Amino acid sequence: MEKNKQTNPATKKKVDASGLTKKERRALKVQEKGKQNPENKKDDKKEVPKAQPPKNTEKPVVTTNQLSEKELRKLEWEKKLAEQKAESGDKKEALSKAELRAKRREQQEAQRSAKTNVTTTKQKEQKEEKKPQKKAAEVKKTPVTKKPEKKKHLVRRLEFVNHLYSDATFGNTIVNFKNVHPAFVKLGVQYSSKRILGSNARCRALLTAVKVLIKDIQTPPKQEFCRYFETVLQSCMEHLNRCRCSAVSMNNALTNFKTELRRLSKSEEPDNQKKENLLEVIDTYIDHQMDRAGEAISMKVNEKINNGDVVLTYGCSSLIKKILSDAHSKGKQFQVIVVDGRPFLEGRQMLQRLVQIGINCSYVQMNALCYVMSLVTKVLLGAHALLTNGYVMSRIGTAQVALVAQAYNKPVLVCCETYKFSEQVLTDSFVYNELDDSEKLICVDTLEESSPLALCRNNDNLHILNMLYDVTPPDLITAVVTELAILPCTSAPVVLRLKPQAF
Amino acid sequence: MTLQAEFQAVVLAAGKGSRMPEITSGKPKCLLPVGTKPLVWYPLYKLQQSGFTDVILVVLEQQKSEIQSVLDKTELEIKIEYFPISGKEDLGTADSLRMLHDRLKSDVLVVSCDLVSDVSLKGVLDVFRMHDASVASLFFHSQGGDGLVVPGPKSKHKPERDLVGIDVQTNRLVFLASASDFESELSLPRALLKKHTHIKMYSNLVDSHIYVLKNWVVKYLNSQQSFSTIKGELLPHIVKKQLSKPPKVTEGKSVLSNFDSEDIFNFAKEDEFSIAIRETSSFNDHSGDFRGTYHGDSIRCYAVVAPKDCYGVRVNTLPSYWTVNNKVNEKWDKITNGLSLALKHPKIENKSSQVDDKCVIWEGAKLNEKTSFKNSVIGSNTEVHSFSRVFNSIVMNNVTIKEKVALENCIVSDGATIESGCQIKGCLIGSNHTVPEQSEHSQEVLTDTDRLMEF
Repeated sequence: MEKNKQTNPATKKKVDASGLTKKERRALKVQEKGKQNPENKKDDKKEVPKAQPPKNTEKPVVTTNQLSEKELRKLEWEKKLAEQKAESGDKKEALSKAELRAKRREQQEAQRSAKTNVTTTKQKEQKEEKKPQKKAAEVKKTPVTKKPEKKKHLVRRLEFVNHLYSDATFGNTIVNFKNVHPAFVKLGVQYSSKRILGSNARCRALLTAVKVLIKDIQTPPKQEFCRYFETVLQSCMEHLNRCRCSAVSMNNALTNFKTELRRLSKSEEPDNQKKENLLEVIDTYIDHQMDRAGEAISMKVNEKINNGDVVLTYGCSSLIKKILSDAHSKGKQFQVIVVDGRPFLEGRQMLQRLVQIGINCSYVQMNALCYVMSLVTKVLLGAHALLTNGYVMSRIGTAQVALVAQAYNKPVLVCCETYKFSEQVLTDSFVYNELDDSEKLICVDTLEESSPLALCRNNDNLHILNMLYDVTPPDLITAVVTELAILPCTSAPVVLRLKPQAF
Repeated sequence: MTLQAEFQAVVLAAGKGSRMPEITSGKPKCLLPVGTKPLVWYPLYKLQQSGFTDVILVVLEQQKSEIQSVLDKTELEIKIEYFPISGKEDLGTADSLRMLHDRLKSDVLVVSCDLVSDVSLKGVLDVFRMHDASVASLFFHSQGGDGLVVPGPKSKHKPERDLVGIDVQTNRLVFLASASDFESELSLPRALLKKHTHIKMYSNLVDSHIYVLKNWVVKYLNSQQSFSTIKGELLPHIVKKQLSKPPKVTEGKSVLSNFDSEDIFNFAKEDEFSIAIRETSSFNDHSGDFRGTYHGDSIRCYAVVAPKDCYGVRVNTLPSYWTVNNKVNEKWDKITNGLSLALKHPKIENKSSQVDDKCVIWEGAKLNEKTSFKNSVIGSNTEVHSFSRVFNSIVMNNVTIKEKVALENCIVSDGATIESGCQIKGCLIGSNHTVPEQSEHSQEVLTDTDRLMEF
């Protein structure tokens, strides 16, 4: 109780009818007894500890001294009170009472601090205890409001990209997924962990897995091979889509394969023959659409690269890599500037492969783009897909490179095989995109100190979006190099119309 | 639809328990009671939870019927195919895997029967799939010692330590050896340090003996007759081979010489499609040097270290068996993902009033009046007569404990009889042994001496 008084002097004490607190009443009693009988001191000792229960065992010994001092002080004050009563009103009494209490407190504090320093720290601890208690009380008061905030924190979503978030769940199975071939399970893990990155690589991997599926499949007796294969392929593709969204190149390749499959289903050949036909279909697709198209594009761009050129490229495109290595092997002298963008930092892989070949390379990050752009003679960019309205969908950052290149009047060539042409029409990067883990943008593995964005994790008002693709408008692009011809961007629908119904 | 399974699970339960002969002399190690279930139940249940529908269980011929009857009583849904091997030849783990080679058509998940853990297999399997690894293995951080007094004579139980070297950037397993192979120094080849610049060497990791092996590893093992254990010989060999390059085919020499066909790189050849995909993909597992992905290695071994809060114990020594029995009921929820735990089997005759909550009582046990049990495991068909008390002990099947016996901190094996009036503390009682009346023993091994030595 004494401690409380010291920490919260402002709180009112209970005052009874006579206008005195308990302590004062006791003190008065004691004084009276003390006046009467000095023998009653022992009783006082007993009385006081009983009357004030929350006391340490040390205190009864000391309180006698305090009491004796108290008694003396109180005697003095009572005398003064009695004098002042006669003179003035209640205010002064109150003041004197306050002074009484204040003086008592001061003396007790001094005595205690003289004893040990531990007691003062105890008071500090009590203050701290009071604070967390208060905080706990506050928390208890607002449990309802805090919980939905926490939920929001875990599943924070921006409204305007709500359609891009994926909720992939596989349930409890870790192995032996039903209806999914092991090659596709492995492919799913490789896609979602970004082990296979790049539209050409993903398409190639998908077609290889389909070949394995063709070789392994055993048609049950009463079903037709092609229809059964289609259902199996459908369940495998659903699994893959849960792991990661399909690329445009993958979708186009599969559409082509399915039309071939349907064409085969009408024929009367035995199953083994059909399987071989399908394998051949896939092999020719890879050969024609990827390998040979790559060769043709490489030859066309080779004519455009002159000695002394400084070629700028962004990120890592397998096609651009092939073009540059072919040009180098044909003896052309040129330099390459590789521009890189986070979080994938694919430019490092491009740099590694070009340097191994022996090309003279420079490496900059996106912030140095304007600085190097004045040195550049042409810009070569890869593409994920070419859309019907002429826009180019590519790794995020490509639009930026094209914009700066146009500002500096540098020619921008986008190299894209025709199998990546898509029937979609997009004018912005939000309607159709892919979102990756936002943690990757926050962590910076090239810096030893923690990233400056690390504070953003806890900020409720800041959402971090890690988008994978962006869309470049055709007026920023000089030409698109395909295996058919070097075309302006807006000719994409013409190509789609002229190419046989493989799409 | 019958598609070829991605993995085939093999549980090795033919171990003789040579590190704890006192309790495994009369009983297969895989049937030692751990809590409410036999030891081999735990890896089988984990495989069942992960989605495996069948498993090959390698057992010793003479123990097969016993193991089969015990496992049929536990309600496991997974289909167990028993593969008996002869106990007369001293076959190692690799030898038994070699004998299975024609049954193994796909990649293999090898699990030992003595693993009690709550780890999920997803981590190690995903690493295996992602990198198309040859070998992937799982390691636990060592669990802290409990300070429990182990029954039996006080001997310094030296834990077997493994030296595990893991490349920090790529999680590849670059070094694996047992600490007992080296006296005071360990030397690493310089080429290894040039290739993997940042290696973390662990000496306190517990090898879970969960290995995911590619199919060609089994075929390679079949061609090499010299390997006898997986962990001791096969794995360190493959880990070392990561550093070597495939032999260059020089023109003029016949490629079909015997030596070439047995070379590991013939087995480990990657098909051209995987290489093409790797070339076109803009992914590199490491950075800092200008080398290609995986340094172009066709043999890749990976090590996955389970998170620190995972519980994993290999029950192959006496102290680990003792601690796992203490902890298994606490960790039951985590280990089994919510299976109901029935500590006392419904079919027991329990006339005792002092059986505390931690006791585990198996089927058919008979507990008479005025007996007291604390924190003990009582096996099936065991009878405990009046005025006896069993504290902190593991009593296995068909044991008879007569009146006025005080058992504390003991392990009593199958079929033993403890006559009345005994005071036994901290002892190991061998199977079918009779402890004479009124005997007092402390921290000893009580057994028929001819049981310990097996030739």
